[in-house]
Amino acid sequence: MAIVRTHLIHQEYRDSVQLMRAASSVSKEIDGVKIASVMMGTKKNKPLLEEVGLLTPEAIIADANDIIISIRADSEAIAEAAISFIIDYLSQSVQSSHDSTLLYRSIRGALTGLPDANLAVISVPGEYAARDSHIALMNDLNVLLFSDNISLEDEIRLKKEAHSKGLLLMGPDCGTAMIKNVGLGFCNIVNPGSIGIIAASGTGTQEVMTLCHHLNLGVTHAIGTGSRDVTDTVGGITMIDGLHALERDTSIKLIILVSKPPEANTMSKIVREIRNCSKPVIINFLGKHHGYCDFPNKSVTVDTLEEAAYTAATFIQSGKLTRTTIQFEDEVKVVNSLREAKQRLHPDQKFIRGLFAGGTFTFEAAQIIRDLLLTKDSLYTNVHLDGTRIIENVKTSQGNTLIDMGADEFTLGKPHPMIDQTERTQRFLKEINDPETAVILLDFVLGYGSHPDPVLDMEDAFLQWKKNDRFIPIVAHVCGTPLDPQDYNNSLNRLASHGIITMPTNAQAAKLAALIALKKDKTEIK
Amino acid sequence: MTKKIDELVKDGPVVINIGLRSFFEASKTQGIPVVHIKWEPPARGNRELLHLLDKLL
Repeated sequence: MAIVRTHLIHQEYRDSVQLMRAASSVSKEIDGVKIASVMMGTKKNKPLLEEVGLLTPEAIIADANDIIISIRADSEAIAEAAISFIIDYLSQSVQSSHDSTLLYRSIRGALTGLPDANLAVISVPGEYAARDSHIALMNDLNVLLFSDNISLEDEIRLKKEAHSKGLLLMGPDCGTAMIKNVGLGFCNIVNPGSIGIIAASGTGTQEVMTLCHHLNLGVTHAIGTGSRDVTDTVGGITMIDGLHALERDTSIKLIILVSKPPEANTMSKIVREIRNCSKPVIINFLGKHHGYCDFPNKSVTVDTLEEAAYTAATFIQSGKLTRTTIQFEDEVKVVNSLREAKQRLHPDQKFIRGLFAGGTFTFEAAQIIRDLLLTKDSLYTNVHLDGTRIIENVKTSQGNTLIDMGADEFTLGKPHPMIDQTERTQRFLKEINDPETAVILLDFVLGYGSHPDPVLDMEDAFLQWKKNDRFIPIVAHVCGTPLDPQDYNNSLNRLASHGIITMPTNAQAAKLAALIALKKDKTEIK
Repeated sequence: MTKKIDELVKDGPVVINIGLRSFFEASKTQGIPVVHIKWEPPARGNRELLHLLDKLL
């Protein structure tokens, strides 16, 4: 019978990524650990422990600065070994960080050590993040607010405060940014150049900047706005401030906007700003069909992230601002994959199963697959997109299903799939055992912040897939560049060596997956 | 007057990192000036006490 053990480390605060890594490592390293949870004893975390039956009397008395280590294991000895492992893991990460850049306990203190600081990167728990952002702004620091769970009122107040002081506030929930070619948050490393991006989407930014890199273009800035910026309540403060800043920066020749469509009043405001902007603008308001804000030599609208990059390439190479689209880069690979699928898929294998780490990748794939499927309303997802249905239970696929596994329902108290793919791997194994699965669609996001080797993280699952009697193609897209800390080319090669079909963009991966599920030939592509 | 936002994009980021240590490590790896704040919930996570302290300051 499984036993539960709790151990507290008093008055030792650690961030959630460090704690989740410790929990994830112990599950992988020690056999017989059923559940391992390592979290701070906050009011928000205790219900999560209760849900999985780990809220012991010791855990109840922990305060917000205590680390709670909770283990459910096959035996007492295994639980004790797991606790020791975590204590060692956490103490090693402290030893590796003893240097003079870690001395400070407040923003004012840090400014004495780094008086030229011009940006505060804030990723503390949401309930404290607005307070720290305000302190940063008071000290004339621009802010990248990575934290989420910031109230709308706080967002508006902070953005107005930043604007009035000539400061930039990126976020909240700003996962990705780049300033003068330095990646911040979850960010890829790309060539510097004359393109500046302003985006409400983290993985959307990553896709556009990496595709620009592969097209021999350079990106110098990527300003993250936070997803609520273009609502009428916020009024696009960060997007417009960002647009003005990129307009004034003489190194930038072309601006790309990526966001969900702004609400009506904000849309009018942004269109006005674009018309007055002295630099050309490419606009990808996700889910909105192109043609809504096209002014000759001034702005052009596109439908997908890849179109934004291809259109940028056309402009940089020829000076022409014209929407540039492409069906597939490698047509031979597509034709061969479709031929094999048509020959080998069983008639019962009908459905696409997309398991995504990136929210915008899910949304973009849903947009593309929705338009290719023959039956209306036959795509289920947990992202909100017209013409698709919200899935009844995110844990179980129904028909064609695309799941953003980085959504709140998967990440509450658990690591995001860009950091750890335990959840996604389990779901993948479920999908390959479903006789109706025709094709699996995956994304792998490289760059700073992401898992050091996301392909390796799923390698065991791929070995199980290869042993499967049933033929199920996998289509994957790797968002990254050879400059990223992970080995981009090696990631692609390893996927290919397993027989996984790799595509150069998320959009092309989604198109191919839809055609496979429909058992189409290349010639039948719309 | 030059806006602070213009100085940021012109000079590049000089960062005070508050929160996830992995972001601090990433900035350091990229060779930019960065310091990390050893953050912990203020007032030991007691929101009421924090509110009172903020009022006093």
